[in-house]
Amino acid sequence: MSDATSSHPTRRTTMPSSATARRVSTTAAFLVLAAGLGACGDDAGTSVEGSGSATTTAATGGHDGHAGSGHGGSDTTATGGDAHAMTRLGETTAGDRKVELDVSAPVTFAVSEGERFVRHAPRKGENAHVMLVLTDAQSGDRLPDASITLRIVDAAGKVVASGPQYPMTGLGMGIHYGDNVAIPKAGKYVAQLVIGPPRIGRHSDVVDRWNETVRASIPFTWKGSAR
Amino acid sequence: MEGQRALTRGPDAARRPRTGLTRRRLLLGGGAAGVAGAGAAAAALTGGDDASPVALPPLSAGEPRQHAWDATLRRDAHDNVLAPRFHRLLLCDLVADPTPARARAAEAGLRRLERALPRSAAGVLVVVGWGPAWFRRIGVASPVPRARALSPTEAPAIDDPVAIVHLAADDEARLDRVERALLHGGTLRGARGSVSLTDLLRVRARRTGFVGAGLPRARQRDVVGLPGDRAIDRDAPLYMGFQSGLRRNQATEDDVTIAEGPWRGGTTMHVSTIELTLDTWYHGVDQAGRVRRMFAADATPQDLERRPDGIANPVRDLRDVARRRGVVGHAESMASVRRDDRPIILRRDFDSRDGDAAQVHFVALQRSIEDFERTRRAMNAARAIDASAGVGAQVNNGINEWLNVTARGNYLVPPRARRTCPGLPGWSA
Repeated sequence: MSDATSSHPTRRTTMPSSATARRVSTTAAFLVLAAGLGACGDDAGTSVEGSGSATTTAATGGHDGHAGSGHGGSDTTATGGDAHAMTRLGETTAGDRKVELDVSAPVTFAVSEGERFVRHAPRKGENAHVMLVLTDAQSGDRLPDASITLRIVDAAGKVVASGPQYPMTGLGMGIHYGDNVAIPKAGKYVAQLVIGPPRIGRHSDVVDRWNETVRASIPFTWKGSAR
Repeated sequence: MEGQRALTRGPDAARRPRTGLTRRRLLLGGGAAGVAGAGAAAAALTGGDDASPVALPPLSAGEPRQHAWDATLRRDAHDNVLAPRFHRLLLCDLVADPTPARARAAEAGLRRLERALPRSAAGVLVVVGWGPAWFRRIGVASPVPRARALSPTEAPAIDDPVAIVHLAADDEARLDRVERALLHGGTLRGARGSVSLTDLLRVRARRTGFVGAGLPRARQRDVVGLPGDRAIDRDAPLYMGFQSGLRRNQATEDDVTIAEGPWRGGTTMHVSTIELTLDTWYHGVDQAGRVRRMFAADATPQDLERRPDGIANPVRDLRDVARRRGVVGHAESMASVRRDDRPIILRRDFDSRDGDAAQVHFVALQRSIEDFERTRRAMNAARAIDASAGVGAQVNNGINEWLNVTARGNYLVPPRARRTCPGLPGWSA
C-alpha cells in the first residue's frame, strides 16, 4: 500500500461556494427503495482499505474560476485564482463503490434546512476542505444521497477530525460530499470512512447495488496546507 | 442456580470418560449437543483450585437489583434524577478459566467493596454486566444477542468482552481509587480484605467520562469535536447543552427490570461509543434550531422552560413533519416507541474526552436488547427521509448529524446476588 501525497498533480476547478441542492429528489426516480434496504447485517460492515493513487482524477468539467453566485455568495475564505485548487489525496474501492478523497483550501458552503440554506463558513483552525467523490466502481457514475462519515486519524491512531460529510455540488464540481476540517500538522494520516447506501431511487439494474454499509480507509500524507 | 442446566460438551463428549473431563475442556467444549446433569457438572467442577473455597462475606442488605440506583441519587428541583458525576466503563477479558473458586473470590471482593463504601453516588455505584462472549465461554445460550449496527450510516466496532464493569460516583478521585483496587492491583482503604477482581478479569478497554452541570465546560479545552472558539454553557451537564434523562423522557428502573424467566430481577445493558462533532451544532444552528432537533420540529426554547421535567412528545406522522418543517426532532422520532406512555429504555449516558475526542458513552438499560434496537432504529427516522428531500439520514434528522457511532456492545446485568459469573456451572453465591 502506498500513501498518496500532496505532490500529486493538482487540478483546478470551482468549489461549492454556492451549494444549490443538498439532496437529489427521489421522486423522479423509477424505484424508491424501502427504508430498511441498507440495513447492516450482524457484522460491522465490510471493511476496505485503500491507498493513495498517483493518478489525477479527471475533473468533472474542469472549470477554472469562481462560483460566485447563489447561496453563500463568493465568501470562500481563500481568495484568488488558486483558492479552489484541488489536490487528490487518495482513493479506494470499497466493494461496489469507489471513493476519491480530494482537498482544497477551506470554503463556505451551504446546507439546506427545509426552506432555507444555512451557510457553513470555515471555523477557526480549519485548514482544509475535504471532498469525497463517491462513484459506482464499475460505471464511474456519481452516487448522490448517500451518507458518508469521515474520521481522520494521525499516525498514532488519534482522531484529529470527525464528522458527517455534507452532500453538495458546485459549478463544475458535480455531486460530492465534503466539509471543512482542521488537520493539525504535516504528517501521515488515514481517512476512515463509513459509507452508507445511496437512498436515491434506482432502475432495476442497480437495485441490488450499494446497499451494504461499508468501511473504507484512505491513507494520505498531509504537507501542512491544501496547496 | 439458573443457567447451570445448559452446560454443553464437545461433539466427542459422549465418548470421553467422565473421569477424564477437565473444567477447561468442559468450558471450551463448544456449542454441540448434550447437556450434563447439574450433579455431574458440579462433580466435575469441584476439584483443583476449588478445594479450599474462600469464605464469602454475606451479601449486604438492601436493593437486590444492581441497576437500581435512582433511590440513592440526588434530584433537581423538578424531580429529575441527577446522574453520578463521574463514570468508568471497564471492558474485561478473563484472566484464567472461570472456576467457582475464582467466582467466589471475585464476589467476595465486590461484597467487601459494598461494606467499605455505600452503594450511592456518595460512595460508589457498581454494575457488572456479562456479554455474549461470557456465555459462549461457559457453553450457555446467551440471553443477549451480539450487538450490531443499527443504522445505515454506521459501521461500529462490535464490542464482545466477557464482562463490563460500570463504576459511578460523584467524587472522581474516589472512583479512581475504587477502579485501581478492583482491577489494577491496588488496595482499598477501609475494606476488610481484598476487593480485587484481577484473578478473574483484566481490563481490555477503559472508557471514562462525566455528566453534570459545569463539567463539559471545564473539560472542553483541546477536545477534537468541540468548538474551540465558544465555551459550552456554564450550567450545561452535557456537551450538547441539554439535560439527559428528564423524568418524563425516561423509563423507570421497574420498567426495565426483567420480570420473569431465568434472569428475573436483572436487566440488559447496551453500551455504545458515539463520537461528537459539535462545531456545526453550535455554529450552524441557533438555540431554536437546536431545540427543534433535540426535541421536536415545533418545539421551542420556551417549551423547555415551561416543562423542565421533559416536554411531551405526541406520536406524529414523521413524513408529515418532514414535509412541512424540513426537519424532524430527535425525541419526536422516537415518540412512537413507548410503553405505558414512557420510553422503554433507561439512559445513563455520559460525556467523555477519551483520546482527546468528544464522545458520549451511551449506557442504556432495558428489559431486552430488542427494546433498545427498536428505540435506536426509530431514531433513524427512515420514513421522514423518504418523505422530504430536506431530511437526510444525517442532515435535518434529529441530532444524527452530530453523532458517529464507533462501537456497540450488549450485556446481561444479573440481579446483585448473581452478578458474578452468572450461569457458571457449580457456582452459586
